[in-house]
Amino acid sequence: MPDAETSAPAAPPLRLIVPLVALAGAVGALARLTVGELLPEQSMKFPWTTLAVNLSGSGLLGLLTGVASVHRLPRWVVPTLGTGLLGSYTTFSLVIVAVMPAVPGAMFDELAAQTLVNPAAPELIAYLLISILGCTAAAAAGITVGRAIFGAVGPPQPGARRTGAAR
Amino acid sequence: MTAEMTIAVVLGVGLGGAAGAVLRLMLDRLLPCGILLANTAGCLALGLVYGWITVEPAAVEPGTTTAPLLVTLTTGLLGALSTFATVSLRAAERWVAGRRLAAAGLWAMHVLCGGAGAAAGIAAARLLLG
Repeated sequence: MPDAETSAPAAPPLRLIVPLVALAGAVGALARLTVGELLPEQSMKFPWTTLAVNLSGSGLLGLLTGVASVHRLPRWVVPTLGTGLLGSYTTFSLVIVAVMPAVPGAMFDELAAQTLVNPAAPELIAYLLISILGCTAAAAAGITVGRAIFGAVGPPQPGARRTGAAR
Repeated sequence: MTAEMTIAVVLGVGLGGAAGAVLRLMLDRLLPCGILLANTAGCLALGLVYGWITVEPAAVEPGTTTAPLLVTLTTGLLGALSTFATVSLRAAERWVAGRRLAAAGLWAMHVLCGGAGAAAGIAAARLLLG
């Protein structure tokens, strides 16, 4: 993936970033734990909590990226809040494992008893698609809103990213 | 998996979350497909854990010593190692830039590799423990 943002020349040194990402990663994981305690999925018929966490985290990462594209932020901000906080707050592995019982055949059926929610296969496929489409749309919307807040009018211009340190 | 918010669970999820985030940062910095690797590894390991607890459901009972450890591992380390937001952002950037096939391809790779990882993890846990 040789995107502009993966080979950012302005990437801050790891010795500066690692402690900040560790701290923010702890906060992100604890925030996800807390949301899960407040809205436990085992009483639900659909994994609403994980979906809400991923939607909000993806939207906020888009917002951060949008702001960073038009406003000069200290260079530790995007890695700490993006990779650390929001990267850790959202989760991919639990989505995939929760969707596994939708695989044809009975191989992963018993898993549903342990993944807290137990919807039928069509609901799990819908969950996966809603997660992917919704979170991508939330990130795109966040980029636009973030740019608009700092006065950049018009549609996002590919390649016009200033710092390029988005992740 | 849920657990009471004991000190052990909060400390474990905090430490696990820190380790998962730093591991993902390193993979992303060092490898061109670092996030894909982080997500696939997260699915594989979470598959192992869930494969194990379908064989040993008693391990997640409240009050056991294994329950806080499993929450540390799943909600902390593996939840933080894997990420949804970064993939969404990179797919959104491609989509907005008109590279729609690249956006769809990015998600397809993540779902396929993650699903294969999870399936391998679940199967391995059953083979080893079942």
